[in-house]
Order: sequence, then structure tokens, then C-alpha cells
Amino acid sequence: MANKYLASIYNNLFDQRFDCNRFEHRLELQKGIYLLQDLGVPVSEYGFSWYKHGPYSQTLLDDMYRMNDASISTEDLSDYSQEQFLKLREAFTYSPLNEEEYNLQNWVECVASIHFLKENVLPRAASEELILDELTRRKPHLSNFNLNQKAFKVVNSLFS
Amino acid sequence: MERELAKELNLKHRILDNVHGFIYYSDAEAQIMDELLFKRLQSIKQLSLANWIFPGSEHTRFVHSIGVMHIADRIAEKIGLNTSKRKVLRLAGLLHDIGHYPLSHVCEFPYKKKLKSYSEGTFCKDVNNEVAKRIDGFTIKVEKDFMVKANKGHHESVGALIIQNNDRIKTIIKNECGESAIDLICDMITGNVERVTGEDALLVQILHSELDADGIDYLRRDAAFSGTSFGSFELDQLINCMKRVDLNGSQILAIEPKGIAAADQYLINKFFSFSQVIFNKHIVILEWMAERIVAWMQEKCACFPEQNILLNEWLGGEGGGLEKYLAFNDNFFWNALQKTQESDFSRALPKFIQSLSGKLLSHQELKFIEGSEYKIISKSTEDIRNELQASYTYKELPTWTNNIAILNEKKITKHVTEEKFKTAFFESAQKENDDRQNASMENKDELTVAIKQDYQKALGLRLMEGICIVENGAPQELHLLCDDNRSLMRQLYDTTLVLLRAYKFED
Repeated sequence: MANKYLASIYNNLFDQRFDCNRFEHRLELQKGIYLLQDLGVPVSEYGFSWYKHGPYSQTLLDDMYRMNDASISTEDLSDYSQEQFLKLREAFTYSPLNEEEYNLQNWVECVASIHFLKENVLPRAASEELILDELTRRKPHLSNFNLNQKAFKVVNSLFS
Repeated sequence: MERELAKELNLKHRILDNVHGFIYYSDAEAQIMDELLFKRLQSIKQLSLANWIFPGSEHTRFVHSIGVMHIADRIAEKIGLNTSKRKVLRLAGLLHDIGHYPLSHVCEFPYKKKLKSYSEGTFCKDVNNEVAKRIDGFTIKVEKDFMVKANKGHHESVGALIIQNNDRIKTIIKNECGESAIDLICDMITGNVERVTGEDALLVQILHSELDADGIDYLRRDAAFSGTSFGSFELDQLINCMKRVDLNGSQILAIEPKGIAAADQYLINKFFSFSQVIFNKHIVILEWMAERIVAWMQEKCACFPEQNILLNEWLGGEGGGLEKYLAFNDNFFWNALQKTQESDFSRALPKFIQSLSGKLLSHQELKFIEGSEYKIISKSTEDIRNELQASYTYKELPTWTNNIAILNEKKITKHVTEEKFKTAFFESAQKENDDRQNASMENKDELTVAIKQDYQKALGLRLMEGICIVENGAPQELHLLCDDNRSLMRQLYDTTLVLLRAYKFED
């Protein structure tokens, strides 16, 4: 793994080894870093835009393949940042109960996308209904209403 | 012309600015200028410590903000925005830097990304090791992220937070432009184009693009106050050639072909301004010293607050928090340094922090090592990397225990040709999509459509951020300077300045 720094962020967030050749890992890292930055955990400084797969940074994708042998541990962070990191890790601790539920990658994409739509796309006072409608309009594969509601609550709790 | 302008926007007041002459402003703008949160900018120097080297550089974020308001409105008038949009733009220009940190960008760095901390015993070795790695991995990258919103901790996000949380500023905006203008101004300040369409996208670009009012004012102003000549460019011609063009539901700020020379001149002057002023060898080391001190203090919550305290308590809270923020200016920085020399506090400090602070307080800098500077201007990654690796400074890096090296770099423009951009974009996008297909996540047709949609989005953002040429008002002919044979940028894009220097850390 060329970029040990990014790999260490993934490892700390998802409690598993990052494999940059796996698409799901790359997507999960994209969403994880987006949310960490917005939570005020200063691990990186990437800019995100909305692409087909939600908040996405082209530069971050390129960096996943770039050499960087530094690494970061949550202990390097302030108490506040550690707390936010753990909150996010908990939010990402998810496994589907059945086949109809989202897999981890979809869950992570759902949480990050809801937050992005709420913060950057829709009017500031947008209702939950409006946000979730917009989510399913842009991402038909994320149409499980109950899970979307659950993800919305998770976003609110992360950013309260 | 000025009288017509004054009447339309009700610009009753005026202020004399040594860069733009008389700048006229309205009652609402006067109220903003009277707010303590805005007046705070009087105590934040635009160029942080540059006045130690260019003694005239005493200008502040306050006067720069007024200048940006003025330039933004000149652009707005030229491209035919109506009065209500111009009022919003003027207020956004005025407020765009309200969230700036002490010493401008110097104190901002550790709030955006945690700087690496080094232990006292191996400080020089660790710093030099990082520089060596940067040299070994040096690449002139193809930028692919454009018009991205400022991250949390960035002064623009702080500015938006101030506006959203401050009832007095919100009331002024609401009374002048309507309630919806509050969110629009925040989006303009942070550069968020995801929420805006049509004319509003244009407003964002006027404050956030390669041709924005911010850059135009600071280039002129920094030159005027530093005594350098880089602020001299064909501003009137540049603004006179600006137009707006409809593209896919948004509007793009562009220039007519006869503005190409003025735009080239602007970018080249900006490049020289960095080379000669921002990257002046004395300014570089002074700012490095200040950054290291602030990074340590912020990490240890010594004097400088952590990001969450700054944003959630000082700006999010009431009463006492705001008073602390009002004092968060250049004086705050110097007071913090003064504390490092007091015996109670100094006992807890690493020696190097105390030493750096002591030096700055007595107007001293770490000594530049003669003969250690390597300045390279090239378009070739290999040439730059090879030349750096062949340098005496690079070769000495692993052996130095009392000297430190600093590496600076700057591209003349963020943009590359559309052909190069397309190649870079599809190389990584195709791999992503191949992986998704292999994992049976989506079928090939869906992925092809997705790639094309994403590419169109990326192209649109690229056009918004760059300096666009429009031929005959035709949106299908929009292209950037670097894609135009009449522009120097066609030859000069990818031109990168790299500076490697060394300084004595300890005598």
C-alpha cells in the first residue's frame, strides 16, 4: 500500500486493513475522510464535490496510489478530535441484517451523501423529507426508506 | 458614471483608498464596517510579517476587504448584474475575509490540517527528512478538483459561521438584500457552487475563481504597499472584456479574446509576486517560525484554542466567547509569544519554541545559509526533481542537526489543457468503473453513462474556476487560456517555481 497515511486513517475508522485495489475500500475512505474533515478532525485537506457516487475528491483518489510512508494514529489527535473519530467509527460499525439492507459501502455512502446534501446542496432549513427525497432521486440504489431515516438520525447525532 | 452608480446603489459615503481612489459605499455597508467583528480586521495584516522586509506592507485585511467589494462591483456592473444582485455581491466582498486568523494565513495552517509535530531532540533531522521526502516524491500534478467549498477550519468557513451566528450582521444583510441573501453570501464566501444555479453561480465565481475580485485587489494592493511593480496590469481592459455566458443552467464568468493579453499579464504578475515577495527568503523563514510556534500552541491548547473551541465556543457561544474572538488578531499572536518568555509558562515549553518565540519578539530570524538556495522554474517534473536531488542542500539534509531546509512551490496556473485534463480524468475514472463492474456492482452501460456525466460536471467546474475565453458569446466555444493559441498560458501552463533553501536553526 503506497499511501500509509491514508491507509492508517482507514484502518482506524473501519478496523480493517485498507486495500487500495478494492473499490469498496476506496469509496469508504472517500466518505470517511469527507465526514472526518467536516467533523473538524484535521487529518487532511481535500475538497469534495458531488459526483455520481456522492461526495468525492479526485485528488484523494490519486493520493491513494501515491507514496506516503507517514502514518497517523488517533492518539496523535486532540481529545476532541479523538472523540469525533470514535463517534464516526461507531456510526460506521454496521452490518446488514438481511439481503435487502445496505452493505457497509452503501451505508457509508448514504450517511455521507445525506450530510453533503444537507450542508451544501439543499436550503439550510430543508426538511428530512426533502433531503431523503433528493437522496433517492440522485441515488436510486439508496431507496431503503427506513435505513435512510436511520442514516439521517446518525448524521444529526454526529453533527449535533 | 460614478454619480449614476452612487444613485442606483444608494452609495452615500466614500473612503479614500490609495489603490483604487475613492470607494463609495452604502448605509448597509457602513453598518458592516462599524461592526466590531469587521473592525477586528484592522488588526490583522494582509501580509503577516512581510512588513519586516518590505516596510510599507502595513495594509490590513480591513482595507483589502473594502477593495474587494469595490472590484467585485466593477465586475458586476460590467457584466450587467441588476441592483439587487450587486448589493449581495458587495456585501459578500466586504465580508469575505471576516473569518481570517491572526497573521492571516500563517496562523491558519494548523487549523486546516494537523501539522506534523517533531520531538525536540530530533527536530532538525525530522524537518529535513520531510523536505527530502517531498523532493523525492515531487510531481507536477494535474489538478482535477475545482470550485470546491472551503473546509472546516478554513478562514472562509469561519467567516460563513460568523455570519450565520451573528444576529447583527444577519439583520443588516436581511434588511439590505432579504433573508435568502444570508445563505447565498455564505456560499459565495466559501465557494460553494453546489447550491446555486444561474446568476448566483456567477456571484460565487466573482469571489472565487482564477479571475476573482479577491486576487485582483490583493495583487494591486500588495504591490502598492510593498513597493514592487507586480500590481501594474491592464485592469480596466480586463474588466472591460468580461462577459457572462450561459452554460447548462449556470452562468460562467468569461472574457472576450481581446482580454487575453491582460489576463496573461495578470497571471504572470501574480506568479512574480509570489516569487519575489511571498517567497522572499526572509519572509519564508519568519512565517515558518511563526507557524511552528502556533502549531505547537494549538496542539497543546496553550494560548491558541483548538479548532472546536474556536468554532463551537468562541463563535457558537454568547457573550464571553465572542469577546475572545474579537481579540483574536495579530496582537493575540504577539501576546502569546510574550507569554513564552515568562518563567511559569516557559518551563513547560520545548526549548525550540521558546527560542523561536524569543527571536521573533526581538525581530530576529533564523539565519539564511549563503549558497543554499536553489531556484528552479520548469514545466518538467523530472527536471525539477533531478535538479533538486543534485543540489548540495539536498545532499546535506540527512547530516544536518542544526540546520533546517524549507521547500516552496507555486504553479503559474492551476490549469492544464483540456486534452491533458481529459486523459488524467478518464485514467482514474475508468479504473474506478472497471473495479465496480468487476465487483458486479453496476453494469457496463450504466457506468459509461456515469463516467460521462461526471466528466461533464468536472469540465463545468474547471471552466468556472479558470479564466475562460468566449468567442462570439457562444457557450460551446468556451475554453480556458491554456487551450488558446493566442495566450501565453498555452505555452506556460505547468510552469512551476520551486525554491529550496536552508537556515541555521541553532547558532
